[in-house]
Amino acid sequence: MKLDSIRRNVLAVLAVALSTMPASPYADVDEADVSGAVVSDDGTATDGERTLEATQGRVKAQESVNVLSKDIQELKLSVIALNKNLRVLEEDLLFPANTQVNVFLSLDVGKFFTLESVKLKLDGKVVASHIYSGKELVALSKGGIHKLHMANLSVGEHTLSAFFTGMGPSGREYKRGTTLNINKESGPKYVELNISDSSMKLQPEYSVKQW
Amino acid sequence: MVAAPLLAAVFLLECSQVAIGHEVKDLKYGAILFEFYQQKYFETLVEYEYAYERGGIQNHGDYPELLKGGVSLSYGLDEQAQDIFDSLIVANTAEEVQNRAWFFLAKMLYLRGDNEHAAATLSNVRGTMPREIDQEYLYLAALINIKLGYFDEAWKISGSFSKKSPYAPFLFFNLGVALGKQKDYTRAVSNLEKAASYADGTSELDRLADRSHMAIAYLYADRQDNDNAYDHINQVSTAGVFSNRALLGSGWSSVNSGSYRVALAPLGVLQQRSMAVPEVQEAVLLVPHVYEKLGLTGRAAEGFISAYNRYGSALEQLGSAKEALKDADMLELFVHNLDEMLGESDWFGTAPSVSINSLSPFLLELMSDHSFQSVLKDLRDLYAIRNNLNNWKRKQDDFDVILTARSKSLGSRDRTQQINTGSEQLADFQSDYSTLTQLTAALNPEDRERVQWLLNDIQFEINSAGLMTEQLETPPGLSLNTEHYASLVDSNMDVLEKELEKTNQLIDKVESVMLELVNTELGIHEERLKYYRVQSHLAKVRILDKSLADLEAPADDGQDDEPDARLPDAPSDEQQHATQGDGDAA
Repeated sequence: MKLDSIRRNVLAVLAVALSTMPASPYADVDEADVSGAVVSDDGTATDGERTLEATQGRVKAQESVNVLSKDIQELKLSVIALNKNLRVLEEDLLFPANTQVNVFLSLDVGKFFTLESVKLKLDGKVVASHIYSGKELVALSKGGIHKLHMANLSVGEHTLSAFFTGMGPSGREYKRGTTLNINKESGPKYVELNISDSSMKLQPEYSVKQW
Repeated sequence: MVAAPLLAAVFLLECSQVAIGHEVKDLKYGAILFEFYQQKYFETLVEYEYAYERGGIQNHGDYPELLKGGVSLSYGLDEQAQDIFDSLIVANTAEEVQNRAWFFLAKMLYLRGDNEHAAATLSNVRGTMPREIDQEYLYLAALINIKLGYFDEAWKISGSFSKKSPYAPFLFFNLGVALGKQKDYTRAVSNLEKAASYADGTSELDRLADRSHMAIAYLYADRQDNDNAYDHINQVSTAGVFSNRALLGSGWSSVNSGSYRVALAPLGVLQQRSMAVPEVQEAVLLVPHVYEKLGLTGRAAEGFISAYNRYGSALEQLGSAKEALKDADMLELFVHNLDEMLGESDWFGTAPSVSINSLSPFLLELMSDHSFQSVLKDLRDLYAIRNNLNNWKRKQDDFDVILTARSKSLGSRDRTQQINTGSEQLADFQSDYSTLTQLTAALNPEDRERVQWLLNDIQFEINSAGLMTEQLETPPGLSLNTEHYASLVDSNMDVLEKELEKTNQLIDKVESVMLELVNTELGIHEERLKYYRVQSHLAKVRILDKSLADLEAPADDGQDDEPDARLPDAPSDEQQHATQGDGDAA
């Protein structure tokens, strides 16, 4: 057991630790400074050498990944395009433009209502329901719009009803519904269900907008 | 590398140009934001493509493109991101949009390590930066200056930095470390102390404070100022990620100053921790050495025997970890678990927040390395792509069913019967209409005029019905569409198969890189453990030889071999058991 050898190792480790710890909100890459690495008296690898080996291995791995990066990026782009194509194809087959109706949900609340779930009825028949996760609620509250349902509707008058469940102003369970008569014409139809805070009434408001 | 708040996403949120109370003017953009705000970048980019297919995004100006550039970065598509930012700069866009694009471009170049180009790009910013990214812009400018060696410039920027900026502690830390490397001790310590002062009980800033104290301790140690070094090491949390290094440093500091008894306290704490941690491995060997220095050879011998056994157990664990990696699905499971644990999905983001208890502890240090993060994110994305493609592949049957139903519905018996019934009814209506026309013709002009408008309406309806029936009887358009769709399904499925093959090939390549990284890391642990094990064995033999020699010696030299009652009870139960059971002890 050689105390000096260990002490030098510790200093080398500290030197490396200092040089490899750039604190950054960006993923930074700093080369490890192994200038303080020492060789043990008996010829076996020291911590400094091991750190050097690890660093070299990591640099090599980074280089290998960089070489593959272009291929990976190309693959990602083509898979994104393929997803779009398949989704459009599926929609065109199942929901032709003439009969297509899309129902979206948006949120502009937080004070008087916390949405938990929604149930959607078309002409009295339940066609969709959704329970919102925490992440989805955050996304909605920041301006995201959820595509809740896509369906086929014949040309003419129809009734669309939405039932919202959540926590109301006093922290109690809150259930509300809203209904809209929609006139489906030829071509796709877009309907947005919106929940917003009404500061006048100190409670949430539910509205339906046709685009 | 330190885990910082997900600041990278902040700029994306800002450039989405939608916040609470702001109205989305295009439902397609709202759907994009819904995915984006859940950090589902792949889905976000699919939504973009879908929106373009369905007429594009209206009434939001250049912001959707700016956001797409950011999302592309987050999903590791930096070439696409660069193209988007370049096109926004070339296009005659508003100064604010151009400034944002210059900034993001510079940030991307900086992340690639191209600091000169990053600096040149950033110098294109004109006028004022949008308020919400101004601090990050200054932070980036300071980092680039540090990288290029312009420490005074970075120092000046740090002086103008808002103390409340979320970037402030990170800037002070990075500047402090950079100045420390230049041996500019006064300014280095000053910046590191500022960074440490941001500790607020949150894991990120507390960890940064620990790192700052460790760095200050090193700077003092470098100047042989052991008292100050010791003081800062003692300010590092005893439970955080950096506590191992601090405890070892504290132990060494005491050993160096000859305070062996004091050294036993931090080393004793360290000794109880996982043997996968390099500092613990060292402490296990250092503790008996300290006993030996204190003249407690009996306890020192026990410690070396215990250390020998603990290294042996750790090597067995290591062997099991290496074996486990050979299982076919192990790597995917490993990456999935790791990704969950790191809680980080952003390519553009930060190093992960590391939980010491949740993963194979031998890889703890590797996990916080940028190269490992890169490989991890690539593999995670490739696995996700493979799952996505397999999901679509399973829908092949659904497509076939839809197409078959469409084609059957055109020639079905029910449909033909309905058309025939309709045709017969139409023939009846036409016959009735002829009869009515004849009867009307017999009326006097005044009466005929009164019913003529009714007859015209009926004629219009009958003609329309005739046209519709004719189309239903011969539906060339529908039939052609079915074939068209069938061909589209086939061609897309062909593309899918090819992409799946490419994905599997890339997974094989990246998996081999990951395995090499992991095996190298495990190998380093193995080598270190073996080295320490040999050292503990030699020390044990040396002490026992010496003890035998002392027994054989005629006179007692007065050395006290018994443990000192005032010392902390350093050897654990485990060690004592190990001592009793160790055959090598003799």
